This record gives sequence, C-alpha cells and structure tokens, in this order.
Amino acid sequence: MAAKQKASAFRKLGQRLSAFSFLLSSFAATACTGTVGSPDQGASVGTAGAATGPSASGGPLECGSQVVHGSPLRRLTRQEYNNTVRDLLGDATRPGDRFVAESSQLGFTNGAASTLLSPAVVEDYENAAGALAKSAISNLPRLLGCDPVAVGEDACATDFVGRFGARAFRRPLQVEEAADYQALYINNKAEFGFATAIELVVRAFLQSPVFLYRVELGMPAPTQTAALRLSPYETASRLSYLFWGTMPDETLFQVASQGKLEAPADIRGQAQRLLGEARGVHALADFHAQWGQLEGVPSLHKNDARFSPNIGRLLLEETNRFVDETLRHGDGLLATLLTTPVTYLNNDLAAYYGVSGPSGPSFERFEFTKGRRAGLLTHASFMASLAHEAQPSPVLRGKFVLEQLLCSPPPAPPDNADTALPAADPSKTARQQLVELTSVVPCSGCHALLNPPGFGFEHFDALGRFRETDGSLPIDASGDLAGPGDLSGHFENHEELLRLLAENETVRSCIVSKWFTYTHGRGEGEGDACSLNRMRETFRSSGGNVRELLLSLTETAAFLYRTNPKGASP
Amino acid sequence: MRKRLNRRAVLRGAGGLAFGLPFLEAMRRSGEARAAVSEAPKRVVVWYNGIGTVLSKWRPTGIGTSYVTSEILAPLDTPSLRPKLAILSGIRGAAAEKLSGNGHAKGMTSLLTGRPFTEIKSTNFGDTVGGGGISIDQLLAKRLVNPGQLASIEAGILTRSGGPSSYMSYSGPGQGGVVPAEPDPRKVFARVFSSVPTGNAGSAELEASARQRRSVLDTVQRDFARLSGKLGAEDQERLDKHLALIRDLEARVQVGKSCDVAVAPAFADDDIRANSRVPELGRAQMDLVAVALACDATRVATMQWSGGESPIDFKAIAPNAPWSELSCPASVDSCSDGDSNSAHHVMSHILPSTAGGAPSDMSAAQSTAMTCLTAVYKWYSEQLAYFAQQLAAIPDVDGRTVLDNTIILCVTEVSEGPSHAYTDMPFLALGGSGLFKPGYFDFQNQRTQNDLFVTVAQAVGLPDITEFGDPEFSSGAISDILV
Repeated sequence: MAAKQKASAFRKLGQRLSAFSFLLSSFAATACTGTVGSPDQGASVGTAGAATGPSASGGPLECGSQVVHGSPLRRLTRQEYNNTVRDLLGDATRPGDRFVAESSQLGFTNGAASTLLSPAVVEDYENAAGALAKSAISNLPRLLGCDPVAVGEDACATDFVGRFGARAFRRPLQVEEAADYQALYINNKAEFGFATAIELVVRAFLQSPVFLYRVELGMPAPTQTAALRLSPYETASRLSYLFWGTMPDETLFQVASQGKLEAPADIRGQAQRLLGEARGVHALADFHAQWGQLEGVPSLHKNDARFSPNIGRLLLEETNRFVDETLRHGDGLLATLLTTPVTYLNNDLAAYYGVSGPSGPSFERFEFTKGRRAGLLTHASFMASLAHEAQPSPVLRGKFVLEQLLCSPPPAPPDNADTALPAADPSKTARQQLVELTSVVPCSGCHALLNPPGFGFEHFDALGRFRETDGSLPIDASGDLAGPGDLSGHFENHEELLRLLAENETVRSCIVSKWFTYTHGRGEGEGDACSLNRMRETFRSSGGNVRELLLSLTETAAFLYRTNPKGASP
Repeated sequence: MRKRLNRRAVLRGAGGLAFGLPFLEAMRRSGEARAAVSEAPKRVVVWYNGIGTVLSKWRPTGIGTSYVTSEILAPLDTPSLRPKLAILSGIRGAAAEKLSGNGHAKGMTSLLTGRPFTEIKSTNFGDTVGGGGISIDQLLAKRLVNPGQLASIEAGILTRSGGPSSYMSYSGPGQGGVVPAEPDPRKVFARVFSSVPTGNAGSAELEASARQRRSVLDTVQRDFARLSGKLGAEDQERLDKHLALIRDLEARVQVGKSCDVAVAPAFADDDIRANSRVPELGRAQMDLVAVALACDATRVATMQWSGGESPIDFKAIAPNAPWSELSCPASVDSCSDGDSNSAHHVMSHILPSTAGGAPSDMSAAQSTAMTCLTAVYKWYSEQLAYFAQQLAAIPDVDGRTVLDNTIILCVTEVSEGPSHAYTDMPFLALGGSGLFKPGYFDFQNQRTQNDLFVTVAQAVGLPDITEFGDPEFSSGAISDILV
C-alpha cells in the first residue's frame, strides 16, 4: 500500500513539467537585408527568407497556436564543435576535447543550459580559433578557393569572406556582416600581409556568436504569432546537428537555398538521407551514450586486471556498433534493442566476456547463447557502469531503469534514513542483505520500486561479466514489478524483465520524451503536447520503431518552429 | 625590476615530500603594468575536500591559542603553520538547511553562495543544476582582480561535469552561473601561462599581437551587437554574459603574460580521471595555483578535491589504513546517488555520527570506517600543509612570503557523512599572517558560513562587504577572528 502511494507520488512528480518561462522581449524577425555569397557556391544573392509558411495539409499548425514551448539558444557542444571545424576547415585535431565539459541538464549533456559560460570557456574558444586559423592558412590555396595572383588579393579575399562566412554562419552573410569581415581583412593586410589578414578573418569567424551558437531567428511572420517558422537554413542546421552532430553539408545548403527545405515531405526526405548515410550513426550513438551515461566507462575504477581503459573504449565501441546495426540497419525496434542476444565483439571483448567468438581485432556479429545476454542494458558497458568497484549494484541498476526507461526518477534518500550498512555476511547474498536493509521504513517505499528491476540484473558482476553465484550462493534474479505506472508482472531473470520493459507502454512513452529532450535541448512544456502526441503515435503505430520516431520528429511543430520573442504569450 | 623566482626555493617548500615536479621557473614580470610595490596583493584560496570529516577526530582540545591539536589536524601543527592557522568549529551551513533533497547537492550549491539553491528540482528527467547566487570566491575574484589578470582559477581533482553535487563556484544563480573547476592540470597550466602572448609589456611583438587580437575581437563584438534585441530575454542574457567575458579577455590581451614557466605538467588523457593518479594530479594543481598566485597571474583560486559524494578511493592513497578489514562497503549497496565508485562516499555512510563524541557502542565495521576515514582526512591535512609550505617558500614583494598574504579558506559541504548535517562545519583558515587571528574557535553554531565569508573579505581589504548571500543568514563579520 505504502509502495503504491509512493509510486503514484512519483508519477505525479514526473508529470509535473518543468516550467520554462521565456520572458519575451524586444521585436525580432527582421528579414535579412540582403545576402552575400552562399554556402553552396551556386545560389544567387537574396534567396534566404524567400520561403513560405508550412504546407496547409497535415501541417503542424493543426494543433493550434501553442505549437512550441520555448526554443532556447544552444551553443555547440564540444563534440559538435569538433565535427563542425572538421567539416568547415578539414581540421581533425578535435580542439574541443579539452574545452570545459558540459554539465547535465535533464539527464543529457547537450541541453541549452549544458554548455557552461565561464571565463575559461571564452579563453578556450580564443585559443582554439587561433590555432585553427594558423593551421588553416598553412594551405592557403585550399582554404581560399580562389587564386589571389590571378584575381587579385582583395577580390579573392572578398570572395573568400562571402563563401567561408556562409559556411561558418551556416547561412549567407548579411551585407553588414560581410562588410565587417572585409574591413578586418583590409585593416590588417597592410601591416601584417595577406595571409595573416586572412588568418585573422578565420579567427574572428570562429569566435563569432553566429558560429558558436545555433542562432535561430525564424522567418518574419505577418502577425504576432506565438511561433515563427524556422528559415530553411535554420532547418538545415537542426537536421544536420541532430543526425550528424555537425554543420549542414553541401546538399543541405543547396536545398535550403533553392526553397526545397520547406515542405514537410522535403524535410523528411533530407532526414531520411542523413539517417541513411554513414554519418547517420551519430544521433543514435550519441543519444545512447548520453542516455546510458556511458562517457566515463573507460575511466571506471575496477581494481581488476581484466578491466582497463582500453577495454572500456572497446565496450563503448561494442555498444555504438550494436545500436547502429540494430536501429539503423536492422529492424529498428526498441524491443530488439532491449532484448536481442546478438551483439558485436572483437577478440579482446570475446575474451573479456568469456566466450569463444571473433579471433581478430575487428568487430563481428556474435550471438550469445540463450539466457546470457539480452540487449543493450546487459552490455558490459552498462552493467560495469551500474556497479561499484568490486560488486554490482542493484540499486544503481534499478535507479537507471526507473529514471531512464520509465521517466520516474526516485527521490534522494530521506534525511532521516539510516544508511549505515551491516557487515558483510558470507551466509547471505548481497541481494538478501539489501532486502533486509531496505524493507523497513523509511527505505521501503522507494526500494519497493527500485529493488526489483535492479535484482533482475543479478547475473552480471561488477565488470559486467556473467556470473552464476554470488560468493558461494546461487543467484536469484527473479522479481515482481510493482510499478511505476502500468508496469507489473513477474520475471525469473533479466531476459524476462527486459521483455516486460520492452513491451511496456510507459517505457515507450518515456523513450519518446528522452528523444524529445535530446533533440531540443530542453524539457517538455505545455505547448509541446501536439508534437509529443505525434511522436508517440508514430512510435506506437510503428511497433516501437526508433527510425520512424526520428523521422516523425522532424515533422513536428517543435522541430519546425521557434517561439516568437515578440509573439503573443501563451 | 625583474625578480626571478628561484626554482630551488620553491621546491625546498616541498617539505620532504619528494615528488619533484620539474616546472617552477616563474618570473615576476617587470614593466609599468606591474610596477614594484611595497604592499603585496592580498589573495584568497578556497580549499574544498568532500564529505566533511570525522568530528571526534578533528576537534582539538582546549581553546584559543593553547589548544592541543587533533589526529586529523596534526599535519598542520608545525612550528611554521600553527601560528597561521585558525580552526573554526561550530560554523553553521545555514543556507543548506532550508531545503530537502540530496544532502551533498544541498551542501555544494549553497556552500560558497550562502544561499539556498534555486534550481534543484525533481523534474521528469532528474535534477537540474543551480546555485542561489554568486559564490564568495567569484565575488572576491571580481573585487580583487586587476586589469590583465585572470580573475580566478578553479583547479579540480577528479571533479567532473554533472549534476548539482559537482560544482561549488557560481558567477550568478542557476545553471548558467556555474563556474566549473578544471580537473586537467595541463589546462590550468595553459590558462595561467600560455594563453596570453609572449613578450614583455611594451615590446613590439606583444603590441602587434595585441593589436591583431583587438581587431579580431572587435569584429566579433559587432556580431554580438547585431544579434542584440533579436532574441528572447534569457538568450540575450547569455549572449551579454559571453560578450562581457570577451571584453575581459581583451583587457588581458593588453597587459600580456605575467609569468614564464618552462615545463608544463605531463599527464596522459586517461590520467585526468584516474583514481590512482589523485596524489600526482593534486600535487600538480597545488603547484600551479601556488605559482599563479606568486607571480600575480591571479589573486583568487579554488582547489576542489572532487565533487560532493566524493568518488575518490583511498585504498592506494592512504595504504596504511586497515582497508582490507572494511569489507562492508564492497558487499552491499548504500543509497548512493549514481556514483559507481563511491569509496569515500560509501565509507562515509558507515560511520556513526560523532558530533557529540564517538559513540561507545560502535560496531566493528564502524570502528574500522572511523579509522579509515580518519586516515583520509589526515591525508587531506597533509596536502594542505604541503600547499601552505609551497606558498611559504616563495618570497613576496613586501619581503614576507606569499602565504603571509594569502588566506586559504578550507571548507566542505557537510560536517559528516552519515548525518549530512550542516552544523559543526569543520572549517579552517590558514595563512594570511596578521589578517586574522590564529587559534581554535568554537562558534557553537551561532555563526554561519556567510559571516565567515564576510570576515575573509574584510580581512583581505574589502571592508565594504558587510553581508553576503541570503541576508537571513548574514549578520556581519566575526569579530573574534578579525585582527
């Protein structure tokens, strides 16, 4: 009874949506006053802003005026920065790796508030911009794309500012912007020479807010609507950063400039292309690494010679490949992701898992025998993370299930909880000791929910290896689910537990919410109901197909619109 | 006048802890920007270690200057440090008491801000980070910084990005105010020593480099200006803050580099998060902070040993404690909040509360935990002694030592692990000869950390700071320790 009350309290807590109050101020939505150059090098001046509103049929506006609940300004994450300078400059040095790390926001590290802003951040940007620009001018002909001798230095520089700027800003430059960057070139050329002047131009572009932030102003609207449709270039960036974690490619720039990135079908078509290309692995790998909190796997502290940072990196590689093969190339189903005995191993990992599998260093498909592994959560990357140094942790595992699969995070232990631990007892399993410890008030309320899903993974030790015994005692991995939500049922082991979870409606709904947060860098709000419903409907009708979920996500108002800073407040 | 910091002088301060970082070749800059002064700058270091202490092993006996030190504080009871040490017992972390939630998160977010946090709320997706306002280190940094200096440096050991337990420094309220500690000594080195142009103030090279940077940053600022007014208020606030930081950068560029240092600390990427490297990482960070203060690259620094719920495993670090007898944390779970390697944190939960003295009926596991935790906190005292000795070995411009002009303020987020209490916070002040009174003080939980921070601010020459943080908890400087 107490457990049920707790469960319902959790649910209510979970359903309370975080309030994103956007004090909407001064008028925005000024149209570009003109454009110079174009990212695809082919389009003519003045194409941005030519797009029209959403298509009349089946458009997201059917939901009414509250179509999007906030669209906070996002700065590039370290990974996005690395990828973007790689594509912009051909520089693969990954300068972002040593930038200030993102903090977590709503369980993800790519949220609008995740990118912190301290003096060190701005210094990082300045130092990286300096190094990148210096390196870029070491191959001036490739950088410039024009011959300063043939066309003249100044003409070549003007041309470069327009073309490079349009790619750095991910949209054509405004006239004033182009003038400023040309002035930067001219003012420094006389004293420092042509190459240095170009270097300074690159340095400035790389520190500009338009480069570092994903600036979305939206398109001018005839009335003060609550939401503004994103420009085609802004849509292109949303697509490329979601699916590839980087700036738009030439094709995206081209369709944006040609007005072919406005109709929902066109946008979906591009989403399909991005997801289909090799780089489409990004969204899936990155989402699951963040969702699974796997970043720290190589530096797990295990005090066991079988584990090393290198094994940790291979385990991450296993999980990435598995996610990619299952969701992008396989049937795409969440149920498969959570239950399949198939994974991808190389020789080192086969030895780590204790199976006779691939004999070489390259990864190959491997199917575990029945009863051993079942899907993503039973990867050693997850199981070793959700463990202590020498012992597995049913509490951490249960908490993960509640938080990440059911969107019902348990509260912190109450202040009056006695968390002192009994001494180790070889006559009892750790599970038995934990049950004794947590079956009394005030622990029992939360642990009634936490413990069962945690116990389901008892067969996996602190390294994530399969075990038959805890010490000398047999493993008991059975349990009965008692919520939250509609989650119930008996399971004998992790396979049955994961099947219950995979078929559960709360789990599906939670995964949709997680993808929403990951995509938009913010929590859900009232205005998002329509977008979320559409995602949930697609996910349900496709049988839990993550690919379909991702494509349908690009057709929602939350993806296509931003809030209007001057619009009618909801 | 150019004054070279003698490398041997600094390494002599190592006090027999033979580690031998090869780097301290610091030179105080000459020139107009740093004209020789007879009055040395006043500096503050906020030193943090996780999860309080073992109070019964921390409290000295006696009172005032005639106290007898405790087991944990013994490493600080040397002839040179004792006259510079104030043991501040009975400080109340009042701001943290106001709310419910994770004890370490409450402690961390309110510790240096003196305000209840505003943004830790259970949401559909877990906790969100946030402090209640500006933290004392950042306020002092703002007030003590000179043009061209780094306002502050935040050095961390095994600190990481994450939730509200991870951070203690805030430039303002909420997640947007977080100032994270940098766990990579290579990056701290780069911030202090190589992120501004080489060359002396006034040299043609520095002038040219500064002019180039100014023109780059001017162009960037025009992009900021063009965006102004086109975004919502929150977005605009972020951009304004970013722009302000660029302007600070521009000021640094105009003054140039304050120190030249020969060798950067050498670590591999994997080392930065490796528990086994904690002693070396700590040593490198302490040395960097020491030399940054000594050459006046900054006047405020933090040394943050891990986040709240410290994950540091001390088995290899303090090998003489009876870890092998302490089998309980490895056998069953605690209500651990998401940390898979929380040796220190898990262990801290085994300890009974010792605020009223150690209980007489401790279990074997509790006794062992007390022994091990005492070793842990004593180890932290040894680190602090090392750091203080480093500062004491460097002569300052006024003929005293850098330690004499630096207040090291030692804080933690809870008083003890099991109680997560914010009473009897075990705080210390070290250094700052003549800036505060040494000795053992017990404030009986009548004074708050807010009052202590006001005291420190006044001690370093900011008498206008008469309250700090939430006014409800701020009642002015603690006159007992002010000189």
